[in-house]
Amino acid sequence: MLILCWLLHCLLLLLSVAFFTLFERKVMGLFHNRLGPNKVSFIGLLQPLLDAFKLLSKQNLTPLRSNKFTYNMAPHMALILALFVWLTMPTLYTMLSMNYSLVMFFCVSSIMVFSVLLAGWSSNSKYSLIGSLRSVAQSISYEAVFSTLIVLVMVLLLSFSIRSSFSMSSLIFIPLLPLWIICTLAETHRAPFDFSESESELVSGFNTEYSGAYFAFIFLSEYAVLLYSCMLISMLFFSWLIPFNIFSYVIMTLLFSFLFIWIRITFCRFRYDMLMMTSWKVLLPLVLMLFVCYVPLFI
Amino acid sequence: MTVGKVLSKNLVAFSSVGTKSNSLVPLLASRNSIIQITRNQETESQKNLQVAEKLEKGVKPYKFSPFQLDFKSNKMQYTMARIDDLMNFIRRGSIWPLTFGLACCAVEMMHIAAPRYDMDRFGVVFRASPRQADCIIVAGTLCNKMAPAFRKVYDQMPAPKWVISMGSCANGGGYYHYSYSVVRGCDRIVPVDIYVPGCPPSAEALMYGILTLQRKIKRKSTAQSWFRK
Amino acid sequence: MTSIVQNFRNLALSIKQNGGLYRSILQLYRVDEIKEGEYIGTDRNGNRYYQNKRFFVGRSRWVIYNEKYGLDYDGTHVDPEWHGWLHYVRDDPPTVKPPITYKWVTPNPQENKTGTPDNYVPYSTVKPKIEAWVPKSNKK
Repeated sequence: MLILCWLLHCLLLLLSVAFFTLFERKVMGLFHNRLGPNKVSFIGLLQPLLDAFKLLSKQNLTPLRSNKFTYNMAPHMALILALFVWLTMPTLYTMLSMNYSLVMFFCVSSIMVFSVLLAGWSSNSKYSLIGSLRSVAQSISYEAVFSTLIVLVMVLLLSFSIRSSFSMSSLIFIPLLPLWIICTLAETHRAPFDFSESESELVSGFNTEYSGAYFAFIFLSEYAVLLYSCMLISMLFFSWLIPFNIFSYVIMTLLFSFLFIWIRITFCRFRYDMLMMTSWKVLLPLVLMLFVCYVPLFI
Repeated sequence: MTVGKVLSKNLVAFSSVGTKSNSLVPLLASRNSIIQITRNQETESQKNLQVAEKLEKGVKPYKFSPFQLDFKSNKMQYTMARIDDLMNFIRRGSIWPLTFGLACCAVEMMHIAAPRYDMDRFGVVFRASPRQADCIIVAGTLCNKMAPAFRKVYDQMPAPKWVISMGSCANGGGYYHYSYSVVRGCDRIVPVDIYVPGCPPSAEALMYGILTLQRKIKRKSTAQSWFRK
Repeated sequence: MTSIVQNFRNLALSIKQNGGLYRSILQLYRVDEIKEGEYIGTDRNGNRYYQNKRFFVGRSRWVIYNEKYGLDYDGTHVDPEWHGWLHYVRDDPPTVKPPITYKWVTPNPQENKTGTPDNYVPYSTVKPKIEAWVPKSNKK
């Protein structure tokens, strides 16, 4: 019964991620004073489904000298992890509501770095290798900042789970919000931190050699984690503001995803060394300073 | 319009009956005038629809699919034709070109991504990697040095794939046809589907080229050929 | 920018001009846009031309293709006389100022026939440089 519930949830999640790509394209178009997908059917509503089916109907190429097992495994790993992290959501499974959801989320997002690394390395192409190494270095630098931030949030919530944020969340969390958003952008490889793709610098980053269905899996996994992060932000930081039903959380999630798309359109990409400097020299001292400021309030 | 005619006929019948319903006659007359007014305010587009319909009498009605088959005679072929329709609709709804911008035509190719001739409307997004692209737009002069790299990139694309040759240099050597280091047309290297003429072709012309590619994809019959074989 | 009330009014006018809500939805499916504008004229293929100066230059003149083309409308279905007006080359439509015609102008312009059996296949009109020889036959 639980498995069926989870499978249904995965199906609907993939559908929503597909339409989220349409949302992104239309919003980007409107920001650029043009329209997004329009001609395909009605107002472009079938566009993500057409993209998905087209990708599934393409020939499946495997590079000649690639490491076949890891090449085939990495997209599956990415997709399964992205769906797995949604298990930690408190409202969805009333029977199974984790006591350690925040810790679990952090662990799973650390493993997702591996999928990027393996995908890039096993493709046996210099562009993918460089793309994946860059994005892995960026991810682990921002994980240092993110882990400290999560520990701070756990201290403020006085528990390891997200469920407690429904009662403990308050206005005091708001100064942490900009920093959490920056760390989320870095973890999910979104602009301005999208070195794993960096479309105009490298050919296509770590997913250069992936065609057809595997590319669709990697693509979907990135957006699934992004939606999860938006939901997490709405639960942790805004539970005190919005009424306690699923619709308000969904609306808040959509607002934050719109914010992420807005950030992608507005900001240009950092230079790589500036990115690293920001992480280690600016954000890490900042989060430690916040730690020092917040903890006395709660002791 | 026909409703107006029926009502007016009834009004004539009522007025001929006449004297009993004297009080009703002015009311009915005013209704008649209202009907007259609404008929005169018929929208221009409806009037012109009728004009357009009168213009062509002997024209075949529009059909969505280029494969018109009878269901009863050959069921399997009919299903193959419908599968073809579906697959062609999917493939032409999201063409992902690989930008192979070599020279000045590349700027016109950038123009179709700009807001004026927005190609994202048609589902066309530029992908950087050949593994993820459907179509390759050869924009610019193909030189001898570039030719092996171009062939390699074309081979890396997964099937089904198409080639649009843009500009006179890619079509047949163009302005530099008699040069020693120019490939006289990219169709010496790859099979080309659509040629877009111009030097450079305006962005509108390239957009029309992509739409012509969509029509070509609509006529593709892979499932039926597979079945017939 | 136009106010919200003005936007709703424009939407209502567009729906009314396109013949009601149902026909507007069909129009949206076919043409992906519903706009209202002044009707200018019809060409010999039955396409209808509209203009609305409220939009900026690229969007103020448009064509609604004849329903016989269905979803397969093409740029070449537009009449050459109207093409100049539609693409902002000329100021006046052919109903106001008819274009100059010459006797060499083709009387029935056709659509693009690429891919159909009627397409144009180029052929050479030059006498071939090498001709096959005709063997001499001894016939009495």
